[in-house]
Amino acid sequence: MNPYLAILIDSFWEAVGNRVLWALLLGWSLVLIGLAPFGYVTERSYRLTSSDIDNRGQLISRLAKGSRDQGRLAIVAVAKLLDESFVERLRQAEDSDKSQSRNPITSSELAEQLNQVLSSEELYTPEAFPTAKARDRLLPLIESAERRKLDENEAEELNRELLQQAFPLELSSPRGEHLWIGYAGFKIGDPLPASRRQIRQFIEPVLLAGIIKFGLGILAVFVAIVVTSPMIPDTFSSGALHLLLSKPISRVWLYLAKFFGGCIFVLVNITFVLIGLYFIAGLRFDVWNLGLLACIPILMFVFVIFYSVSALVGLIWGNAIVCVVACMLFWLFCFSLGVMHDAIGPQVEVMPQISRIRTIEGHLMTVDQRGRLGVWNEQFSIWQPAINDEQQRQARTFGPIYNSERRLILTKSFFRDPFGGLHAKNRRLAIIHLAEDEVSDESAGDLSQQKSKLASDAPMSIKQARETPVWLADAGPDLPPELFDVVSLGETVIAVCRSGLFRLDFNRLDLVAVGQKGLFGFQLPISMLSAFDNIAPPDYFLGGNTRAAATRAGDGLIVFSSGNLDHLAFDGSRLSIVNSGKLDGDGTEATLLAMNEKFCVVARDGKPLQILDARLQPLSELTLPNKQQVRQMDWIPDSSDLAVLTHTGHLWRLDCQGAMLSPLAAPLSGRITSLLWKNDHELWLGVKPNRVVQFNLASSQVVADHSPRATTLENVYRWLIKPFYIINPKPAALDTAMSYALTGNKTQSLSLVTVDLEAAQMQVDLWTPIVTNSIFVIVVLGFSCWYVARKEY
Amino acid sequence: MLESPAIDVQQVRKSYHDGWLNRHSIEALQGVDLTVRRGEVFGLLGPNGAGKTTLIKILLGIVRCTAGSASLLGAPAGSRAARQRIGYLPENLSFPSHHTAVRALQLYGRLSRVSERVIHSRSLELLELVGLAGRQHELVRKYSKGMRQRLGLAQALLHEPELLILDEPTDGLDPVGRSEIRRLISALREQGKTVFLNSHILQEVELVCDRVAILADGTLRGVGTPRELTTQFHGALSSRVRMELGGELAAIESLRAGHEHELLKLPEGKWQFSTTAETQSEIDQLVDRIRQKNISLLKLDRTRPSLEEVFLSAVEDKRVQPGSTNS
Repeated sequence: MNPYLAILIDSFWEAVGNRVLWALLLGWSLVLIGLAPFGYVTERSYRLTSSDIDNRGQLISRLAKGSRDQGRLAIVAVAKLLDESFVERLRQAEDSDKSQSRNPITSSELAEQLNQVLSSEELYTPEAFPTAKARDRLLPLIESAERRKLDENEAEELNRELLQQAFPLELSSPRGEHLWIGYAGFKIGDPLPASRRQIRQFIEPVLLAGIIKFGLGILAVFVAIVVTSPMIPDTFSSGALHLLLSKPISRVWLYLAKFFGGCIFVLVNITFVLIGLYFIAGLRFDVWNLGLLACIPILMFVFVIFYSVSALVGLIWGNAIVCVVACMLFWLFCFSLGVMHDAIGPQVEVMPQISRIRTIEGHLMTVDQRGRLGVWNEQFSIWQPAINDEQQRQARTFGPIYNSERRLILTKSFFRDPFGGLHAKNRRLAIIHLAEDEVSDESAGDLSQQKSKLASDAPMSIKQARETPVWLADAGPDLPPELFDVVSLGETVIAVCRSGLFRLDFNRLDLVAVGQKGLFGFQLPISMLSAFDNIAPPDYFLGGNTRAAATRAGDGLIVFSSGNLDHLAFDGSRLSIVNSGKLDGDGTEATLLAMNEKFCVVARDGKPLQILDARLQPLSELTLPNKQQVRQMDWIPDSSDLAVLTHTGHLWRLDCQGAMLSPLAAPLSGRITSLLWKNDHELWLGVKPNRVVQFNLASSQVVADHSPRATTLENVYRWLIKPFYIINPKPAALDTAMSYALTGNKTQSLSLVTVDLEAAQMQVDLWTPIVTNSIFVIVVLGFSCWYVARKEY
Repeated sequence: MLESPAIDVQQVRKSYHDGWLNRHSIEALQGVDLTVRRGEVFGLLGPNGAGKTTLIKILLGIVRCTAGSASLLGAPAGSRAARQRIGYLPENLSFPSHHTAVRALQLYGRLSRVSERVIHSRSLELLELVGLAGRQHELVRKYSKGMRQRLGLAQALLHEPELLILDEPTDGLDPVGRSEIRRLISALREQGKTVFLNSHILQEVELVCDRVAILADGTLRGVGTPRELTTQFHGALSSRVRMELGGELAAIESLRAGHEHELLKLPEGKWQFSTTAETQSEIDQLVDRIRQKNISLLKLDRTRPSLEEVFLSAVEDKRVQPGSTNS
């Protein structure tokens, strides 16, 4: 047998003989046994839970009004089926709510009362629910109900759908299934307010990755370092070493064999835990993720990085305690550098990324990932803020929407919470009036003369220019609540909200402005301050995470909501449904849409690109190479092809007719963040980090390059922190490799849940950490080998 | 073609550097010449810090000599070819705590590139030989020091080396164990093996070694058989004569006038007279003089110096030039 193989085998037996190994395996076994009973508990049910109550206050108010025969008949019908005592409480609650006192009715109580309604056979009446029969899914249930042939489950399903019609904004859409996290079959807490797909989206990158990163990547590796740290000092102490060195073997190979022999200890531990997790995740959560097993070599690599340091220190000082201390110092160094890089990196590389490009009246305007609206300042070569709108977090900005008739720009920014929800201090649209002169008439009387003005005189320095907005925006009307999207439909602006599709009436903008200031010292009624009108079809309500887009011709909308796809035509005053379709999946996926006269293209998170015909019937599906995620889609002018931009910064041309994808030749491929077609041969590209390049496809030449000057922070990051980070070892950066192994995605959302495909995603850099860490290990092992070869023991 | 010696050391020097920036130099070996013939049992003696361990480390290639050359069985010292053919029992031997005797022999056999079959058969044989049969499956960490030493000897013999370098082989062994080791060394000599023995127990070396070298302060003070070494240190350590005499004190004192002698009064009017006599004729002359002076010669003892006395003398005597009696 090869002597070095003999050392490896001996190291294995050494590991097997180590009590700490057995103690650790016992500990891991207990953890796995403890985790194993966790799993899903599902029940087919339409019953409501407290998490289904989206707007408690409004629900109480409507039910209270309904109990007084006020409001829609559907609500009155529901209120009639509630307990009398509860109705009384509802009325009291509504009265006390008006006087700003505490509301005593909880969401759980509301859900409980509404659940009583679910078993009623008297809820449905054609008068209360006139549109219910129009729903294909409800028609057979209603017919059965009319014949009194509904069983308990069917009655529950019908009544739940009717409740949803009565309270579309106050209740979450019914899923027909309740999902709990259970332990040994027992439900824990309330049903989860998320679908299996969303939970899976959470389990893989967050829960499993968390267990692996912190449980194994830090804790287990540290324990392993403590346990294995004496191996090299013990081997290279005189009593054992002289005998080994008297044998006909190479010192260097002896060292390497002992080094890799030490890794066996960790390999046994990690393999045990990850195989256990693999089966628990698979058997209990139906997440059969082979990426878990792929994490074994990655975690081993993390250990090897630290162990190479420990082994070198052990060679030089021959003391296990010094080895552990040296490893901790090394970890602290790597951690500090990683934190510095990870804290500044997104601010310099992700947040400035341009997500939208517009050219408005000669101004080149962009929206970055912070949601900042920037205007190109040629004098200083910077993106000057268009308006004063501070957003430090990743945000979603609607617009800039340009109305050429009135020469104004509309925009509004929201910031996102980690779960993708949009928030803002208020819902007022910001309006920029592009006036020829900057006279602003403060008098309320002359409304037609009210214009925005330039924020200040021309800035004198680059610092001033970076801080000074170009325009002072006026506060416009409030956007409707529970907004999903704002779409420009020709000269019309449509706000896509949960309660419908609202059209902005430009004629009322000035009135709203006056109303906000007051007229002759009097405040105008709130209803007069709204400039939006619901132009959706009757009873058109939207579910969670809705996305909409204007058709290419600007004559309609395509809307994706809760798995349903609707094509709505705009006749100049109202929208009406032309075609509808249902897509597979649970309908919660982040989505991008594009539609022309013949085709509709749907890009969804984690799903293939779907091409549908004009009647929304599926034609074909295409998968982008390497599981690339779509970031933007735009029709190519004078063509029926669609330009598809992915989060990896690559451009593709989608031939909808032939259902073919082909690379679209563009400069700086791999760094593109947004696109805008000027015409069929001229393309504006947003390029990382915050450049805009004008590219001529016919001549394949860059016509203009708007590359802003770097700030001090950007320079420090690019020329100091990043190079230092790149050349240094970074074990923690291997987390990205683990995340890739677990999810298979080359880009990662910055939110916990992906709700917006347009939001920038961090590109998973697999190879830099692997290469730099490999070089580090090779250098450290090389030095150790040189030391061993030269050392006289 | 002449067969190369088992060990050939030519003008080997070794300096260690110490202190801040290695400015202090310590000469561990100062030009050592030594030849060990094949098939002999050779003992290396020297006080602590004499350079014995350094010399062994150079032979094994664990350290490199600063100057000079050393070879084992015709191959450069420290080369893989040389290490393939030697068995080594280090001083203060320690085994990994997870080893049993069988697993230790298995590992060291594999490191010596011995086939599995031979390891299996030789292990049992050697464990029997060193008295560990029946305890081969116990963990070595539970062994006594003597048992570990026996196991160390077994591993040194496992691959049937031509040359054995034993560093304090009887350390920790009881008298019976020491006797067994001596018998084993004798048996190895009979098999034609060369044994290079480093031991502090001089009587043991005297009993088993064909030749002995004395190393002190990095220089070789003498090499030869124990008898040759006694002869080599003749001037300092000739035969000593001790007599019990009866007679007048003045007459007794005049016996060795001008020579070194000791006189001790014993009961009943007797005297113990001690002096040195380098040759037999000198003793004969002394006896003749006793008779001439009418002194009664009651008892006469003649003693030769032990190896310990030779060793102590060699270590302390700086006048003796090394290499002068090297054979």
